[in-house]
Amino acid sequence: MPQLKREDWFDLGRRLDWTPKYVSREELFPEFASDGSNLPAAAWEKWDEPYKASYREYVDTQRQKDEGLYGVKTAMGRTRYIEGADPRWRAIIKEHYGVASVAEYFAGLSEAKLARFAPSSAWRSVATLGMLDEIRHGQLQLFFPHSYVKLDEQFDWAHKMYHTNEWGTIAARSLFSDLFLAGTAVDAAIAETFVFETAFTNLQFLGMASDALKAGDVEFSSLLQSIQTDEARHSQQGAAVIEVLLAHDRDHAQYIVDKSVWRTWKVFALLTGMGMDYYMPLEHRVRSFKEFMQELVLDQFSTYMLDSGLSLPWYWDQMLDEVDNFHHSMHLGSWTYRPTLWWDPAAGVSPEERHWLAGKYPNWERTWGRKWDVITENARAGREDLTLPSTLPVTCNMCHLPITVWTDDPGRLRVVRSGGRSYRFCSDPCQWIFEREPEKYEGHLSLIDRFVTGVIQPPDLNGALAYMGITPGVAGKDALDYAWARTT
Amino acid sequence: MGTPMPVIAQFRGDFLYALVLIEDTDTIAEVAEKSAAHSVDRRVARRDQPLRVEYQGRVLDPAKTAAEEGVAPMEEVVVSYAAGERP
Repeated sequence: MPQLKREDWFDLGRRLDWTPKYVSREELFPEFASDGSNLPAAAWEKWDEPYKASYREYVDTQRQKDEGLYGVKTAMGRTRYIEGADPRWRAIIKEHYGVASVAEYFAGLSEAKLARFAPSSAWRSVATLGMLDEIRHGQLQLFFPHSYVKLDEQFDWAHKMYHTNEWGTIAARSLFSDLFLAGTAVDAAIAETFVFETAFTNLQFLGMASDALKAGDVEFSSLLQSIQTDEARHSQQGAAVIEVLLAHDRDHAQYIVDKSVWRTWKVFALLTGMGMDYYMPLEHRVRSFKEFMQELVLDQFSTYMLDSGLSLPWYWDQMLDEVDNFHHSMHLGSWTYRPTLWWDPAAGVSPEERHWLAGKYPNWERTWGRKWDVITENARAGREDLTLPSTLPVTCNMCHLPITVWTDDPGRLRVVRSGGRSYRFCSDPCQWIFEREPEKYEGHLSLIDRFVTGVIQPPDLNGALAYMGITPGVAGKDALDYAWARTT
Repeated sequence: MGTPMPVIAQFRGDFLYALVLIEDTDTIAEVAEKSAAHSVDRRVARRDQPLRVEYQGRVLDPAKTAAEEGVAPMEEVVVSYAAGERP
């Protein structure tokens, strides 16, 4: 029996829209779940993406990918690489597994929403494969570190993190809940696939993958690259959504992009920025975080946005300033608050490392070096107590990260007063996002809100550590036991 | 014994906004010291200079209490070394 050519059957298999008789289209695809712009069905008929994988092709490809990857895992397990790995590299992968593994299930739920509520059948077909991708990523990134738990309790946070109220968890959970889960299918596709997966995952899954190879961690590098091949396919959904939406509701498309770029940037500055510029052993560094940001986001993604018919986000100048500074502030903060982390952060400020930082960031010594001078003196003098936290930092009511400054004369704290209380923000874009949709964000308490309203008991640092789920065996310590401070 | 209240302290030259517990009967000089304790000798080098507290754009009198100067809970105080030189 002759087989049809692929192009003759493919569209028949994925374009399955029909006219409902027993329910209205509005009931089948309610506005709150599908498309807030409420475009007519005909508008979505034009939706298309370039990969065009069938389910059968998908399964075959994924099986081959998994065979290769699990083979690498088995082979690397025999080398016992992780047991002898540099503690600074172990910090990078512990942070990664904590933030990424269960977050893949947020992404899987989001893709499941698209697979049900996306207003185009071709899109729903692709989203079904995207959902399976994300489940695969979650399973891989739980399975891989699980074999290390017997060596090191901190690896248990690959699964545990999102089930705690650790401060970084509150920030990451807020991001994923907002961008992936709380909006319509259209909003989620733009936030997750157009912004998060197209602009930012490259930083970690390509940039960090190349660092991993330099560090000799073939397993982690292979894992990241295998995941990224899936992302490259299902992230195509977003551009296709932008194309349809721009023709009908440009302002909404631009708003979701602007909000998503800013919120996503904040978390990647911690996830990728600190690891690349401070934890990564100097001899293995490929490029600085800023250089990766410059290439992948500030150049490539900004061009992609403009080519798609969007404008650059209104805060682009502030973004450029943050790329020079924000992750340095998060590193100084998270290293200081290391007992609240599930990894042992490297300070990364030996004289050679500071020379490298000053070369990549010309203002680093002026802005950050003088603070590390005081810390280094304390570490040398055995005054660890002065390098540890003494109170809580105030966190932002949007990104939920500590509010930080890097100028000598910062302006007044950004405050919005509403409903008898105050909300504080780290930046103009965080405040702007809040003010666009206050009803969405007002009920969410920051860590500091929880502290001052008595949710955290006892109201001291130990009470905060217990609230965060941090146990003595997990609480982070300096990765090199201050050896960096003893070198001159 | 006054009423405890948290304020948000930003010490010029440091990079965080610290949650600092003061009492409304504390003098502004005491508020400055309590705030500086979270920054000076930690990330800001100590200087032999008096401290200055700004609140809602004005410099507060170090001899008056927080209550007398109208400092409210969870509002921002900016603390710095009094000399004009930037940190």
